Amino acid sequence: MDSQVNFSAMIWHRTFRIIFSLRGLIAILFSFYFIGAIAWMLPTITEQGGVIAEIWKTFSSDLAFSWLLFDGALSKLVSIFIAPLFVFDAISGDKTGERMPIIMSRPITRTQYVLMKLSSGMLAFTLLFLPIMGIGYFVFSGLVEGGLDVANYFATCILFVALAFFCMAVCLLISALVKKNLVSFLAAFGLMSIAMTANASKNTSDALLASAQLTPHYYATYFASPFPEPHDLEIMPFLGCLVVIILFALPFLYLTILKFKKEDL
Amino acid sequence: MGAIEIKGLKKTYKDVEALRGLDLVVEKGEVYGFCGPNGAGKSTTLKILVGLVHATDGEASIKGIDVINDGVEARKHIGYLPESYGMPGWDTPRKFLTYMGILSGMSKEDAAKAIEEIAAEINLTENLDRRIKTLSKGNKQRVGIAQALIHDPAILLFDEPTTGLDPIGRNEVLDAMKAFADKGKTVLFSTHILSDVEKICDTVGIIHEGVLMEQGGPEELRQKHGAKDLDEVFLKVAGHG
Repeated sequence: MDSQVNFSAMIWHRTFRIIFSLRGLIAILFSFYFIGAIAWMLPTITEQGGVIAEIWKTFSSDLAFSWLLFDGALSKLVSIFIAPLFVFDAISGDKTGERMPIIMSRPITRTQYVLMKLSSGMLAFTLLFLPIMGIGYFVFSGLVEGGLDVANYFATCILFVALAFFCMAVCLLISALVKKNLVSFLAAFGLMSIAMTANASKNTSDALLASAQLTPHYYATYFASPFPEPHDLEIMPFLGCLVVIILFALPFLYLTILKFKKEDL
Repeated sequence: MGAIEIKGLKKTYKDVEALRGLDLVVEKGEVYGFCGPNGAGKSTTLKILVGLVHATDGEASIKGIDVINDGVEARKHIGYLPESYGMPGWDTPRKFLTYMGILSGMSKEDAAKAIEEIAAEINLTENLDRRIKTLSKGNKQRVGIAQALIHDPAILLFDEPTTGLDPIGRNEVLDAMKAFADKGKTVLFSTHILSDVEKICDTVGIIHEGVLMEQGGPEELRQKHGAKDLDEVFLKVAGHG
């Protein structure tokens, strides 16, 4: 037979398999939990003179919405929970489940296989994340005095999609390097937790701020975080942040492909 | 030109030589039994043909297409059943086979049509919509065979397809392989069960320690070695007779 590989069909097929799976359901529940928790916490934390607000001030003198939402919770949601969830076993799972011989006997290259895993993970992430964050906008904007800046909000959401790309590239490399799903799971979630720490603590010292600038998380929260100073949304810095985050991801993607191409399966 | 041609194929895993210059030709439309003891290099040979393992040296082609340098093109013509494989147990055979069809470059509609035809051919129709994990070993092997056939390849590479099956299941798989060859497909299957080979093979190749020691028709080999069956031939070729 003379067939051409239909790359987009492969990606869409796997994307829907992710969305309509247990992990898709977990991602949706996490995202809605995130919105619900923020909506519940926001008035409590920003209430001047409140007990929780006073406790919160020991971590940050700023009670602004942006710091709370984007720098903290959204980083955790995207880089620890959802992005690794979609790809932590992308390659190791096919190995341990002994599916690799059947999949790789199809007329696809190993590079296509890796890109299919990444693209379908990203597509599933985007299809779930952006609509839920859209719902989140309407929930949060009613709670913030003067409303939320829609451009800032969605620009940051897009940067977080790019951050998910970075997280998935790292997790794919881990998945290619290890042979067991459990190890891949622990390494992916653990490493992602460590990777976001510097940015989450950047307001506490100059050293951590400098460290944060070496992580893509800093650039994902560039327009939302008031640390070290607030940044107005402008197109060139926005594109710059987008490019920097993607550049962070590319070496991991390259190493994944390189490792997988050389491997005897 | 043979359907499968292998010349001087070598594979070394760290310091273990799995293949030491294998030469092999399988003609179009024949059933070729690739025999040898465990560790002889049978699976490695099939894995190189299908691109799962990188050859250290040598040449291999499928329908004249170089499998080492043009693996994707070659794999369009190959249906492969690994010795050991997993399938998503929560999926139905229909869903799994559709995915395999898409990975093979088929549209969903073409894959759906092919699934019905193949299922009818190998008695899988009534199990197409049950979860794979609920199927018997024999029916799982049918799904394995169906995934190898889904894109209508000209060449079938089956690695120990009858291992672990009961006599009924074994006979069904052997009959199926013979039927595929009757329809013009080339079948190369590895096994260490020589009675299977005697039943359906046109040609037998005996591999030992990474080298093809003997090749010919079952009857031809028996006469050549004055043996009563292929087991005896094998023992003589392997130096144990």
